Amino acid sequence: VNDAPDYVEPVVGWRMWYAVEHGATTSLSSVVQRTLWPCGAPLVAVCRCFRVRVWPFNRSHDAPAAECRCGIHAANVATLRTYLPERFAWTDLVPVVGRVSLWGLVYEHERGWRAALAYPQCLFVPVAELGRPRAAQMLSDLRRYGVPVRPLDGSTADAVIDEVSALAA
Amino acid sequence: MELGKPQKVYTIEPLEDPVPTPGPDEPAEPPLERRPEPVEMPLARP
Repeated sequence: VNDAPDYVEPVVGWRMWYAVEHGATTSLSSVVQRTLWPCGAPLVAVCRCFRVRVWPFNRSHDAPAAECRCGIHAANVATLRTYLPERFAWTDLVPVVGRVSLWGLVYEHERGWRAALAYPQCLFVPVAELGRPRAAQMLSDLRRYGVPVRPLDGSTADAVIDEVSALAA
Repeated sequence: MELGKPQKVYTIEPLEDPVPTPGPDEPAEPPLERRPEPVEMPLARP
């Protein structure tokens, strides 16, 4: 059995989080599963997809798995652009956009990846509608992740993506 | 996000940890001061 990895550098994709108040600070939360992302440790994927339990099929499994949609998702910027507007519209939570490192077992798809392990690489926070004190506190809280955190002036999904794309270029 | 069809699967084991090491929130403990080495003095003649 060959246990050697195929690659030795993480894949870097784009994704979106929500900034949520957790205890006395602000943390990153996944959008769909609302999983809190830890500081200083990778997020480990767990399959939470709904399954009708009919033995022996649909047993719990390590994430990501080929036959499932589980794993930590990230995508290219173009895919994020199509995904962001609906997420901006559905919630009052503060969206955070950023790059994420993915590693461990990774499934590469046409427009993105599903991975076993992930950690943010840089974060962009739209602060236009937050007010100065809240924005400052949120940026400060998110810097606990130990990665660059930058404010964005845009308040719409398109403006945010345009700004992020320009910064990332 | 709709990622489309899976293309391939691989494993990645980064040489460098993608998780940054935390910066010093608190000032680092100052290094212990080294006591000066005792200087050997020649014994005074009585």
